[in-house]
Amino acid sequence: MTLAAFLVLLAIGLPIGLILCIAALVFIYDTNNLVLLQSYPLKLFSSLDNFSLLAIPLFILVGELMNGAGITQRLVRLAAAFVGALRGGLAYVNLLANMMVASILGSATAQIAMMSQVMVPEMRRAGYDRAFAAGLTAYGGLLGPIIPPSIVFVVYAVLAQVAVRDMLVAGILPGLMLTGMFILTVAALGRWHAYPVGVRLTWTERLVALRNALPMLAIPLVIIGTILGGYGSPTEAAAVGALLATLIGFFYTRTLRLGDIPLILIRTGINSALVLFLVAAAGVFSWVLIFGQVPQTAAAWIQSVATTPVAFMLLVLVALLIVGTVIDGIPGLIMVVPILLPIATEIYGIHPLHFGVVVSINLILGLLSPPVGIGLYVAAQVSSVNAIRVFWVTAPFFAVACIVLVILALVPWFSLGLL
Amino acid sequence: MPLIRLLRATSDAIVRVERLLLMLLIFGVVFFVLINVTFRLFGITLAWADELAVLSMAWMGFIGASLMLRARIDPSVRLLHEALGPAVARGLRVLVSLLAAAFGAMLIWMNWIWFNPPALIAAGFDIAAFQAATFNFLYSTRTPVLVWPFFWFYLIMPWFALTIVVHALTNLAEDAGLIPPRALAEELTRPDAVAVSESGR
Repeated sequence: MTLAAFLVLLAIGLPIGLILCIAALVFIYDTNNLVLLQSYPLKLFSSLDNFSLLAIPLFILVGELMNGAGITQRLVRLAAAFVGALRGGLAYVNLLANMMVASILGSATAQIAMMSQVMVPEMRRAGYDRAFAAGLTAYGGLLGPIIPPSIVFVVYAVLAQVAVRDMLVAGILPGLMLTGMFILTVAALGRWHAYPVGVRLTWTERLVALRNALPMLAIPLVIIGTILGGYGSPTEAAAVGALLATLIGFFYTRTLRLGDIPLILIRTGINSALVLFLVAAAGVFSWVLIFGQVPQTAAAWIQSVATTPVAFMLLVLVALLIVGTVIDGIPGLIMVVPILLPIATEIYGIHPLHFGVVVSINLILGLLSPPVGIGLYVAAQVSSVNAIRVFWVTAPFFAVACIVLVILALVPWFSLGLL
Repeated sequence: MPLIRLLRATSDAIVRVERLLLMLLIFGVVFFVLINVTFRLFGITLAWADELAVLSMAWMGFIGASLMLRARIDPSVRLLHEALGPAVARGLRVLVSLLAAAFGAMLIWMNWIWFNPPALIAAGFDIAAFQAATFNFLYSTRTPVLVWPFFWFYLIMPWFALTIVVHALTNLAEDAGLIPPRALAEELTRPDAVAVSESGR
């Protein structure tokens, strides 16, 4: 009954946060647990009364401030100064810039939309196929939510009740691995398709690009350094990052004006609320599910299909690839983690951090898988090309990403090795 | 239709309040965390600053969610809207707004039984008597560090319920064609507005 209501509400296009809230209500009435109604608002509120969640608005604020401080352009120029002269130079620039921009927005779709506007026209001018440029940017956008600081991972850490810091650290190797594999793919394809060679810059020009971008690079370095070095919580690291970004924007790049601040605050508020309300809704949803012993029922069914941890992981990979095609990373995470995580840890003995890395990357990759991957459509639309053609032109990247994902699923070390 | 005009005026007024609150709250979150970071340098931990930061964030989540509902920018799956043509899409939008309003009304009712004003009045506003009668400790729980009554912070829930009803009904009036649809301020509807203006510079 609850599942039917859930699917119908999803299909008619109700906001996902409200779907979770309403599905929880349907479940309460369906199972006649009316006593829960009185505690429902309290449960909704207390899901957000959680210190770990503070990292989310602060990470988003850093992202907004860096945008306002003109960082994207400078990072693209920096990447171009050093790898632009290689065969397929702009393709590497695209990936590296994407890695550096590493969407603190936490939404792969937002990063894809943003980077497509910057990179696709530039690659087009240099003689690249438009569909390839759009597709490559979409794959570059995948790196954002994987490389720390990542909001997807913070949300997972809160849902799974693991330390935010550990989750961010667990994502480092997989992120680098994916970037490395994409770079190798560009190198292989570059020979095959004879990609254009970029302009070689002099060392003076390179130094200028480096000097212009250096303060920008300091922000992610300070954030990651504070977290890894144990000097502060991810939340505090992000607050220091926000302060630094503000100072750079005002006094160094001078692109940030006092008048921009209200706009930045509003956008931070809206983008944070987007994630926070989903977390609150997931709170009531999983509370009600546990009351109705839904994870146990689902576990019994899954156990009858998958007998080993490997079989379970592969089943999850396929299922989440499908879920990911229609739903963005964070909402997807919020819908599946309360049900799948207890099964993964208690029955199959999978480490929660390992599971988190695989599930997050899996859902994000789903954004680019046909027939309905949203990320693919965003990239295609911004660049005005056919989405299906974008998928085929960049199919090697999809294959590589799937291989990396399977390796990550089967070898826990890549997620847990740095801890 | 003066009633519908009143509805939209109310919704617009709420939007202005919500935007202002959202700005103040996010500023508060950053401010409280930064105070704590600064004092941490001197080996002092201010637990109250953390508590205020978390509570500001919780308020922000609900206020922002209400604003997003009105601006129609909350994440949803719009496949059917795009696949089945404008007439069906309009029907679906009406349905979505109706359901959102119904949920808001339900939440108002759940808040009513939670805050339980009739029992409070019956107890003559005596908290101890109220608790003895209802086993509801809403009015006596306090925040762990500042020991302020949690009740004041919980008030965001009825306010949230009220605002989503007003916003959802306004959206419904737009969907039904009773008033012309009006896009909210650009910064609320375009996730990449700043990035675009930057690349144009």
